[in-house]
Amino acid sequence: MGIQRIHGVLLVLLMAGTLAATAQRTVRYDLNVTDTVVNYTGNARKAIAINGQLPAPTLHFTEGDTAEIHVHNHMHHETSIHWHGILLPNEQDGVPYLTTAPIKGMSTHVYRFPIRQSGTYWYHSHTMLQEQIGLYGAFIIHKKDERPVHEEVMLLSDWSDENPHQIERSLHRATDWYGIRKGATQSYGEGLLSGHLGTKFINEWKRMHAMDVSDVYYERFLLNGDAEQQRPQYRAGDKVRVRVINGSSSTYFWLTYAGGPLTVVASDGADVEPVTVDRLIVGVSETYDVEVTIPADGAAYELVATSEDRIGQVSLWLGDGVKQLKQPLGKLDYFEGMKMMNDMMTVGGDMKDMGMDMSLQQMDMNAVMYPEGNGPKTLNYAMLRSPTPTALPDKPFRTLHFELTGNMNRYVWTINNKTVSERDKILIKKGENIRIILTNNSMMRHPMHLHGHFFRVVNGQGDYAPLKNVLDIMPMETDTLEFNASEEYGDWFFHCHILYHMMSGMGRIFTYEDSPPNPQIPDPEEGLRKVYADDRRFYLGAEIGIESNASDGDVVLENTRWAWQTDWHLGPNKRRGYEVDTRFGRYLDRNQFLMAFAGGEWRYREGGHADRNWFGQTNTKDDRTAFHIGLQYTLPWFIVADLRVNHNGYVRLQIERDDIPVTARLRLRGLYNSDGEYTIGAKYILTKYISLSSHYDSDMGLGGGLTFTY
Amino acid sequence: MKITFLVPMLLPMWGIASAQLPNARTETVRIEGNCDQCKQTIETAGTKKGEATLSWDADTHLAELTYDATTTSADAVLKRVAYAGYDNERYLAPAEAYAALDNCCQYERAPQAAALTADGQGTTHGGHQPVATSQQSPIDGVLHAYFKLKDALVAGDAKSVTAPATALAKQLGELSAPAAKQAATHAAAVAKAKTLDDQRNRFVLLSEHLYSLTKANTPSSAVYYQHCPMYNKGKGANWLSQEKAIRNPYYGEQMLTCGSVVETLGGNGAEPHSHN
Repeated sequence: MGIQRIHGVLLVLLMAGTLAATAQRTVRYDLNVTDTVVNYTGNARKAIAINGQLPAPTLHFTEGDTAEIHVHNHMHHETSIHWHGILLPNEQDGVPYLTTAPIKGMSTHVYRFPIRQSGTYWYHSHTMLQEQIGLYGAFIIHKKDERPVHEEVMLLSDWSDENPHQIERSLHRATDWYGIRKGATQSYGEGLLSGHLGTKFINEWKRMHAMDVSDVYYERFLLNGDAEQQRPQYRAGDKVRVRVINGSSSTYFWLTYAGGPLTVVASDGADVEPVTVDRLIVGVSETYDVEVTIPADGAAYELVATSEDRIGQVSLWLGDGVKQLKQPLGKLDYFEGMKMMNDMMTVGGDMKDMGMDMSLQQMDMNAVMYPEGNGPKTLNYAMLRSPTPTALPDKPFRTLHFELTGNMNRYVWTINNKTVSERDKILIKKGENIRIILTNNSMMRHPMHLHGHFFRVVNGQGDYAPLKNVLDIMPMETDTLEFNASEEYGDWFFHCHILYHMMSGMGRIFTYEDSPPNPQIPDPEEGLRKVYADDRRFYLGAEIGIESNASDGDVVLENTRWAWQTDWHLGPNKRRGYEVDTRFGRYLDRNQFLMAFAGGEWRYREGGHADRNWFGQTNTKDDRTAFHIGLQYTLPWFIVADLRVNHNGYVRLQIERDDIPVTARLRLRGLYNSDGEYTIGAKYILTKYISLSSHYDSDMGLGGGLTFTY
Repeated sequence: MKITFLVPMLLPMWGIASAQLPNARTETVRIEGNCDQCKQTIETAGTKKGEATLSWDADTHLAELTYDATTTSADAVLKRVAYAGYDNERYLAPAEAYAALDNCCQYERAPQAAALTADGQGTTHGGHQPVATSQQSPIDGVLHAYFKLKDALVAGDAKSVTAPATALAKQLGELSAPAAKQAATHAAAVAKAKTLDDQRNRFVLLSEHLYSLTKANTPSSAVYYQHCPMYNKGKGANWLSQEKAIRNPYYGEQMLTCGSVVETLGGNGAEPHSHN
């Protein structure tokens, strides 16, 4: 009787709930964005918090709700929030200056959009590098009829104590400091000791620097903001659905579980047929829902996320009691990876797949570096299958070929060798089907993300191809994505979600034909200029030696295509002499080995004598002011050849090689030119910015001191 | 005044006197294990110069842990011990680390950890099986015998097939896995067959079982699972091979290079690539 009555009441309540849902429940969140100070490593660092926390709070919705999110920016600089993976009207998408007004300092912006999907998503700033310092949070949408299940959110991220703008600048300067921190320098000395000297030589011959699976050294990895967390409430037999979100800026994570296999049930918010594996890699900005089982009482089982470079891990302990560890992933064997890259890279700088049609993460070439080999069953995209048909409407297809390209040494990342700002937006018609054939001809993997749409990953599952909004594509792979232009209007970004790749211009903008004016972007031309400015920025770098015989130094200011370089050799007195050379140039070829330049030089030296150069011309090295034009070409083994002619017709050829890695921290350099001048030098790297150094110069003699690298 | 100033200066000295560690703290902790070999592994894993010393007793399973509380913690030391394969009061060893211990060291595990091995840790191998490494794998010997048999079939001389088939059956019989037992009966069937056609026919099922066995026990060097679409009136048949190049055991000279690689098992750098 009593139970019956309760059931009756429940039924009424449920019906009321359903009615409320159809009547569009509005769910309001207030997000207060503030500057904050965090301390993960013993050093206080600036970060950004929402409602006082990092990561930002988890937002929960139910499909059919209307989201109303008030973002209060309490900082003095602007911000933005992008709702990653969410289908919404274009002006709610949150890309500042492109789709949505930037949220200026000390102002409030209200987002409002109906929730028409369910699953695991997230949100983050789309302004400059704010995502790196904490502006990200989970965005969970429950199904309307969802039964309560055990579930957890596992929001993964990476933390560096370094200012992200310094990280970005250093990457453009091809710093090897991060490699030193990771123990991944792969120097000639290390090569010699491990029997890989030839491998290293061929690698540099093919103009590749030390190989790595990620670019940045992170001091910490975080799981919901901590190094580890425990959920003691689970008991033997409990199945826990873990919503794994990779909210990091540039780190992929391996996921493994101490209590048995992992069952993948959703990816990027969309359900997939359950598939059971030993491990999976979660690409930057991807989400996966995985189900794990608690095998026994009296223990907490470790769900581990390990950074792809394997220098750190975070743990979620499920259960109560003694902690059951998972075997950690062994250190990467970088020289094996280098050997593989040597096979794949042509001297001309192209990747070749040696006849293997690689796609969908099925052949992980990085596995040559894994001490555990191929033993564990690993998820790949070919294993994902949608539970419902995902075939697109019967409309014409338009096919686009995107080749992912990049220059690791200058940290230029592009599609078809062009940045976002170097290409027009891609016009699409509402209702048409778009097919993107994506080929990765770069040396890194890229998590490519499409805003506001799901695409189907063509993976041999026919009509049941899985839906995703991020696709990780490994070097040399070719994958096919298809989506229907099913939104109404607007500009939709398609870009690499590694933050520093995106900022360097690896993306495209899809724009619907005949889109109405966007009230949030009153001046679209000016807005677009702001968007394009991201990948047009110049980065400053310098290396300044202060040594007893002379100061050798150079300062460069470079962007995607242009470079301004100045270098000097300044002796301690007039007799030793002074030389300054400056030039402005542009990189011409796809691999950016070739630069044409124009510039000027000035030199003065007392009491010297004139010499003849290799070409039989008389050298005016003692007192010369000249304008010149020339070409710089990076030869195999990173030898930079510089051929120039000045306004008097005087020709100079110079070859130079910097930063030959002898040991983890010891670097050699050498220079020789047709005037018979030469330099050899060495430096021992002490910190990111300071080295002990010494060099011998044909004009200046031998000396030693310090070199400052910026 | 002066005395209070002196006390903090003296404290570290007292620490050094007691355990040659500054800020020394001592705890008794429980660590599982069997023998003297265990003792050595446990103490090596737990002890870190200037941070912690660990001394374990095989009879009581208790260890005295002395550590510098400002630089490390009992938790960190016990985690290292567990990674070395030994369950303790805070951490249970990873299944792989326990499995890697010598037989004499494989102590009775706690039920929480034992539950894992009973259920089968992971999807591809039991908790006791070592993970794939460049070392020898138990499957290697069996495969060696199988390849000899396969080569005999490629050569196409019925008389020279019997000996390698018998040897393979014997090798398979020594393995405990149920798949190995089944494969052994099929190998014996090949050995009994008199004609080349009959031998090849029975080689089909043998190959299927050996494939399952190889899949479950990663071999140390790459093995290629190959497919001939023509055999048995277009039904097709598979076999395993040491080399990537096709040398068809079902047709020999007739169609030596008919077939394709379906999957690569084991070895380095080769993920199974499915053709669907």
